[in-house]
Formats: sequence, C-alpha cells, structure tokens
Amino acid sequence: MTMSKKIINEVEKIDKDEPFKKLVLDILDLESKGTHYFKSKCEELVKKYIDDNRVGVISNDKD
Amino acid sequence: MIKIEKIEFDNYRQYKNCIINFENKNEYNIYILRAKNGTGKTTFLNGILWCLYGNEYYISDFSKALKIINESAVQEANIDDVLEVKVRLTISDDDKYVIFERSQKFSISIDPLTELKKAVQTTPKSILKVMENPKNSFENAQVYESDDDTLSMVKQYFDEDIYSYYFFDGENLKNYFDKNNAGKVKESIYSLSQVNLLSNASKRCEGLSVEKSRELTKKNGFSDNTIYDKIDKIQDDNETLINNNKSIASEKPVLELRLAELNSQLSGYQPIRDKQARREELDKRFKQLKSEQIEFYSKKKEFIRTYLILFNLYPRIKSTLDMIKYKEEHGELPPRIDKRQIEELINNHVKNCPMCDGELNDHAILHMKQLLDDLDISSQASNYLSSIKGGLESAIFKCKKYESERKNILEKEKYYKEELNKIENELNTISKYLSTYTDDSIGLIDVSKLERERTNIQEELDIKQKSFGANEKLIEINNDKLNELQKQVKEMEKNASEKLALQKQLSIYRSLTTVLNQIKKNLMDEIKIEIQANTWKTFKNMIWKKETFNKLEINDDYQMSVYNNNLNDMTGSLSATESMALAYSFTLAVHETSGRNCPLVVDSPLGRVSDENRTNMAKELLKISKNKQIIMLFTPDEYSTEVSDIYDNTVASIRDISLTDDEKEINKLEV
Repeated sequence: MTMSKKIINEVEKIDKDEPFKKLVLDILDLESKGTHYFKSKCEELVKKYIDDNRVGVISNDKD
Repeated sequence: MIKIEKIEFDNYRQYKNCIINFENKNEYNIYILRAKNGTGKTTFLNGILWCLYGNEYYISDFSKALKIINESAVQEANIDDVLEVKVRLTISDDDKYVIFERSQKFSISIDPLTELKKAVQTTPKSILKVMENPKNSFENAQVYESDDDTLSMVKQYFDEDIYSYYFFDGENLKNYFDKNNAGKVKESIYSLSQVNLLSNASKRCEGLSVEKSRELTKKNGFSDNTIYDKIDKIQDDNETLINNNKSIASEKPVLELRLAELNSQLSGYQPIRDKQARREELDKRFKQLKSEQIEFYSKKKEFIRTYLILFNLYPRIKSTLDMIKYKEEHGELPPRIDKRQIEELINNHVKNCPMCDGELNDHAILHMKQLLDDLDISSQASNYLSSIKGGLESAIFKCKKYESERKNILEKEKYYKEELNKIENELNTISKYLSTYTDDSIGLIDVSKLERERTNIQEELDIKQKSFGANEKLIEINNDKLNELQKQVKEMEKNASEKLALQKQLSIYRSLTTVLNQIKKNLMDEIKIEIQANTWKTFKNMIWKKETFNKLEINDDYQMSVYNNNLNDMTGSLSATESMALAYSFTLAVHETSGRNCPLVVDSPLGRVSDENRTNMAKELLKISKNKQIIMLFTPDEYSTEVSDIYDNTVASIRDISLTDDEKEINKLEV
C-alpha cells in the first residue's frame, strides 16, 4: 500500500528535522507492509537514526 | 480514476451468458442500463456484490429466493454434468487491471420428488480469485487465491463494510443514516485514508517505548553507587595493613637484634650461663617441635579426609569386591585364554587340536571363531574387573588399618602437646628464675632487668609475628573482595553505556508516538472537514431549495445533521428527495476523501426524486462523472424526459436490458 499524499503532507508539516521526518515515513511504510518483523526492523531504523544523527537524550517535556 | 471496464456473467441467474463492456467514449463517465422492473436491474447489482463478497445483499428474502444458477442451463444440462456459475469484474486502476472472479460449481441430478433436474453445489462456498496485471502486459499477472489475499484486495477497492456506498440502491435508503452504519463508515474511511495505519504505527511505537522504559528500570536497579565507596574503603584498609606489616617488618630485626644481644649478655654471665644455655636449647627444641606439629596437623587432615571418603564408599567397595569374587568362584569371569594361539590354529588351518588332538573340523573352527568373538566382549569386562579388584582389596585393607592409624595419630598429637607443654613450662621456670635473680656482685650485669627486658621483647616479637600473619590473611581476603567489586564495576560501566543507548531510544520512541498521534488527529480533522464541506457543496447543488438550509455538520462518529436557518436539526424531516441528495452527497464526498476514486453503481438513481430536483441531480451527477464513473440502472419510467434531455447526448453509453421471450435469460445487450 502506497502512502497517501495527505499523510506525506502532514509528515512534512511536523516541526522536526528532515532525518526525523524520514524516520516517520520509513516506519509508516513498514507498518503499511504489514510485516510480522515490524519490531526488529523498527528498532534497526531507530538505532540507525540515533547513530547517524548523534542523538543525545531528548527531553520529552514539550512532547 | 478507478473504473469498471467489463462485467462477465456465466449462468448467473438470468444473466446466463452476458458480457457488458464499459468503454470510455467521451468526457462523461456515466453508463446507463435501462430495464423494466423484474428484468434484472437489481440482479445486476447483486451479481457484482456476489462476485466481490460472495453475498447478494439486495435479495429481500434468501429463504424464498431461487438458486443463483440459471434455471434453463440446469434443464439443458445432462445428469451428472457439472455447471459453473461465474461472475467476473474487470476494473482499471491507473496503469493496471484488476480482475475479480468468483465461481461456484453445481452438479446436476434428478430431484426424486419432482423428477426434474436440479443443481447441487459441489463445494460449500464459492471461490474468489483476484488477478492483477499491468495494462501493457498480461505476462506479469499476479494472482491472489488465498482468503486473506483476496479479502485484502477487495477491501482495497470496495470495502464490504460500506458496500452500499459503492453499490447504491436508490430505493433502499432506510439504513443509510443508521447510527451503526455511521460507525462502519467512519472505520472504513479511516481504513481507506490510512488513519488506521497511523493509529497502528503509533500503538507499536508506544509499545516499544514501554518496553524500553521497562528495560531501563531494570538496569537502574543494577547500579550501586556505594560500590566505589566500598572499593575505596577496602583499598584504604589494605594500605593500612600493608603499612602495618611494613612497620612490623622494619621493627622485627631491631627487636631480634636486641634479643640476640640480651641472650648474649645473659649467656656471657657465668652464674647463669647454664640456665641460659638450657633455655637456648629448649627454644631450639620448641621451634623444631612446633614445626613438626604443623606438619603433623597436615597429615592428620589428610588422614581424616582419606577415611571419610573410604567409609562413605565402603559399602559399595565391599559389594563390588564380593561380586567379583563370586563371579570368579563360579567361573563367570572367563579363564585366561591365549587368543593368539586360537587365532593361529584357525589361520593356519591346523588339522588337530594341540591340547586334546581332536580333529579341528568346520564345526570346531566355527566354534573357535565364536569363542574368539565372545572373548572379545567379555575380555574387556574381565580385564576391567581384574584391574579394579586390586584397588578394591587395598581399600578394604586400608579400612581395617583405621583403628591402628587412629591410635597412632592420637598418640602423636598427645606427644606434641605434652612435649611442647613441658618445654613451655620449663622455659617459664627459667624465665621466672632469671627475672628474680640477684647476686652480690656489683658493677656486673643486672640479670633480672635483662631478663625482664628479654621477656618483653620476646612477647612483643610474638605479638608482631601473629599480627603480621593475620594482616597478610586479611590482605588476601580484601584482595578477593576487591576483585569481585571491580568485576561489578565493569558490569556497571557496561550497564551504564547500555542505559544511555536505551535512554536515547526511549526518547525517540516517545517522540514518534506523539508525532504519529498528532498527524493522526490532524488527518482525522482534515478528513471530517473535507467530507463535511464536499457533502454540503454537492447537497446544495442537488436540491432546489436554496434558502432553507443553513449548514451541514458531521460529528466525530460521522453522523450527519442538516440545520435550517434557525439552526434547528432537520435531518429527520428531510423529504425523500432531500434524503436521496444527502445520501448521494455524502457518498461522493466519502469517495473523494478516501483518496480512491472508485466507481458508483446506482440502482434507481432518481426513482424517489421529482420535478426540479430531478434535473438538478441529473446535472450534478453528470458534472461529477467527468472525474468519476457512475453506472446507473433505470426503469423506463425513471428515465423520464428531464433525464433523457440531459443524458441522451452526453453519457458514455445507454443500453437496454431485456429478457428473452421465454423470460429465462437476458438478451444480448445493445448500445
């Protein structure tokens, strides 16, 4: 199932950097494929995002 | 635009053998099928529903309905023939075709009661197959046959939960505005517009964040901030002990030197020379006995250990030895036989036995070979038992010596104790004597003073020696504790870096959950607003009243309300025409917002609509058909002048459906 334009537009509008937006789209793509290995793939994506972008510990207060 | 390209019927009710194409000829995608009541308009709709869902939703009473197989086909078939009912729906979606094909087989037999032919289903349910292939090539077709796959394909295009929003019955709107229906519509809209996708992704991320949070809590539980204090304390203690021992090590020689000087002075003083000599002799003897006693204690430990084991195993040793002896006595342990000799007799084909001179015929040779085989197996056992027999006998013998060895040990122990005691007593006596010694000689040594000093130094040396030993033991224990704690520190450090990684992951999962939920909410709001706006726009265009209605609202459950200018809810008071317009408007808005521009098939599209509304609706539907395929099923009466004026020269096709003279099947369709 391809992602609808509406969802892609909404992801573009979020107040986060580009790599994070790409992460969101990748995760949605994973969910749309209905894979039973969602968990392991999602963890891979998140770890890669953290490594590639040298993420520190983010406070989620404003979230 | 998703379009129905073709529908093919085989033996489906009155559609015995029928193909209907929907070719695009102009800018309007309205396709009209006209038929008198009872010809097959609703059957046409049911055919599509049966193809997609296996259900004919527009049959009023199944219990009184005919079987789906065409009756004339049954009567024309032979007994035991197998007939197939098939409906095949071909749609186009951008650059590909998707074909939905459902079939059901029937076998033909005779009804014993009526003696007429009857058709019986050969399988309990019909079979759906879906094929997908690019428009320019049939070679790359993908075929879906499993229930899950076919259901998924149907759901992508024509979700069964909201079938009535694709295959519309203009005569049957009574459930259209039902609350339960609204719930299904909402779910379907969310499914089609992928709101459910966001919902599921968000739940999964939330699940992962909970998991990471739990892992982090566990890791927090493992950290012990006091461990560094413990390490520091042990290291400090060890330093103190080491320093103490260093002091002792530096003080001891001084004391020993002084002791030697004192001994020398006392030895040099003639009146007590003998006493001092005796003391030195006793000291030497004491040290020697002490050393022997230490060695003796080591042997005593070994004695205890040995006999502890022996006595524990004694019952088994005894029973094993008894068993071996029994087997020997009863000849069960085979006698020693020279295997090599037997092998030579066999290999060299010796004619007579060297022992008894008997003939070594084939039978004897066979027997000898068997004997060798048996020996092979039993020899191993025999050898093993023989090898352990000696050890077992020694063990039994040793057990018998226990009492005498024990007696020796006790005597020895007593001897050392008594001897050492005796020496100690004599040394104390000498020391006492010397520490109270006086004589008349003046200017020579003060024996008692020297002796007292000597005694003090000796005691101090003894204390220091014991202290030194105890400190060394403590240092060893502390070092073991230190190693253990340092292992824990390494574990904690590893833990800390894993914790940091977990904290980062946790914060990302939480962010993802929040963001996905926000996107979902935004999308839901947007969809509702869009559907509401589009429904209102189309509704206003379809009805003739321009001053009555003020607004239309859709709540979170997708229930519609129409308000008049006084803001009173008029939904329940709408006329049949207005209800129809509202139903159309909402249906079209749902289609548009779902992002999937699916066709609309409507039975009696304007049946309940009259007068000016009819014209308005027809025009509005024509306009909509520029971007959407609409297939309409009219009766001749419904296809009134107002409608024909609008549609005759504009729509893509108008076909009339009629029955054959025997009314058993549909005639071939003409354009």
